[in-house]
Amino acid sequence: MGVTLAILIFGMFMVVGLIFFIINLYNSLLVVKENVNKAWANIDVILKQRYDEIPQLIKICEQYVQFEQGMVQKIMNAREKMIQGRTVKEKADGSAAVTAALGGMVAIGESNPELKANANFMQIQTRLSELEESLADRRELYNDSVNILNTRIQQIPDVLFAGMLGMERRQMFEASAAEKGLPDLNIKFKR
Amino acid sequence: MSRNRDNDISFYLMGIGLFIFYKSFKQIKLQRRIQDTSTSKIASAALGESVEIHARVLSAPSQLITSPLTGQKCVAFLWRLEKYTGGKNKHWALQYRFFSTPYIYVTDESEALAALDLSSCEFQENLYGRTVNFSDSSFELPAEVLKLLTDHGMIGGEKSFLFSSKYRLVEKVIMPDDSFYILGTAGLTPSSEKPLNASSGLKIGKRNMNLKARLLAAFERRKVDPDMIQKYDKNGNMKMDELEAEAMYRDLERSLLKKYELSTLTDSYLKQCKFIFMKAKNGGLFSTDEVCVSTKTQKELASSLGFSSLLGFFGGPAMFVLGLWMLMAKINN
Repeated sequence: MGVTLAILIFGMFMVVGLIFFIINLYNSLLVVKENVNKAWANIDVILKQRYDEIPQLIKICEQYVQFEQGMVQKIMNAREKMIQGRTVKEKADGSAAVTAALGGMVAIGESNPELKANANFMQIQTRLSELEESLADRRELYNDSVNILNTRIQQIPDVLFAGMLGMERRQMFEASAAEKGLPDLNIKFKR
Repeated sequence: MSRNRDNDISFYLMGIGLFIFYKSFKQIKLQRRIQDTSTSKIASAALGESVEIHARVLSAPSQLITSPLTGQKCVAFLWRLEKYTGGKNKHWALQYRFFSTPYIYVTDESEALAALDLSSCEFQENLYGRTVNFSDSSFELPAEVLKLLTDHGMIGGEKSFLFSSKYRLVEKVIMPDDSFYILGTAGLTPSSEKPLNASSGLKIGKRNMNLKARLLAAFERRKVDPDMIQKYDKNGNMKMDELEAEAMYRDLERSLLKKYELSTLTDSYLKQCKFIFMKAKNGGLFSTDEVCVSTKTQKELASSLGFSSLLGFFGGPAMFVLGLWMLMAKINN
């Protein structure tokens, strides 16, 4: 076997490898894009769960406490805003508003001995707290996935395929100032 | 004779070259997957494909068992029983895979638990372990291990000092607090820690489809054994009735690795698990369906896979071409 033939066969392997490499690159970009979508959908699941729990919390609280007029409405509006948001920013803002409003309601609950002793209230409070934690974790995961995507689509050779796939930079789900800080506990209520 | 051997070597080189080339594709794909997947926390991870966590192996001190060959206090041990096949195509062929327990449990900073199905795991590095070579006509194995294997018909059978079979038993151990990088498919946790056979803690790998046949063979031998008949003969008719035979079969299964049986505490771990890592379905030709488990960090693993895939990508074809060159040279001579 001549050297030319050996080089030719070796070259064929390299061509096969190169084709695989390109297919793999293309597919992995799709995977990265889908990972972001999946991470976003997972956040949506938590937001929906929180959306479902809020009316129950309000119902229990109202049995013991008569809230200041407009407060419940404020929570319900924030809840609607959160679930109807289309963009990352709209969802993030809605979620932040819900977190802030709920913080106030929970503070009221905790200052009311009868409500605090209510098993259902405690259960929903714990559940909401767990959902908040899950939301924080999934937000971290989403932001990680977005970071991977944003980095990949700018790198060579991925940048060549990113354009073909119509991939653009995605927005991070950032915690609002209200979520980063302590909730406002100074909410008035009537007894 | 020598010409045949040279031909064999060239075919081996070509075959191995192709395999290495193919494996390098798998490694590239796995490396990409590792790099593209974000790390989740067990507590908030969503079920589905490509779930990545960093976790440590959890075990209460009372759960630790002593591995038979290495003598380590461990969470679980894994056995590979291999038989040496002679003739032209000499190699160690996998006979059975054993797991002292079906699942192990891991936890991370979120303090939630996840289960890991050992039969679905592909360990990227060699775990601490020991390999023992033995034959079924001699007794180089610890007596309890040998007894366990022969009692259940997994080695031996027709013993002959002239034609004994060579075996090797590879034991790997998983220690408490071992730190793992895990990437795989997360599924719903099963309701109970149920191994494939019996109530012992033994899990039989997918490759052991003929174990049932072996157990049946051992069962058939015992069924005609007068000592066994006497032991299980409850109605005193000196025969092995159906119910008595069933009881003996159950005992036979249960006795397997009985001393390594899990206690109930492990079940409580299972109930707390958020999910279980299991084998993926139909990952494709170059995909890894198994759960990727490594003692390295994500970054270390990705870079080592990158390096070895690069070696395979160029080394595989080089090996193939060398094999082909040797073959052509022989043919031309």
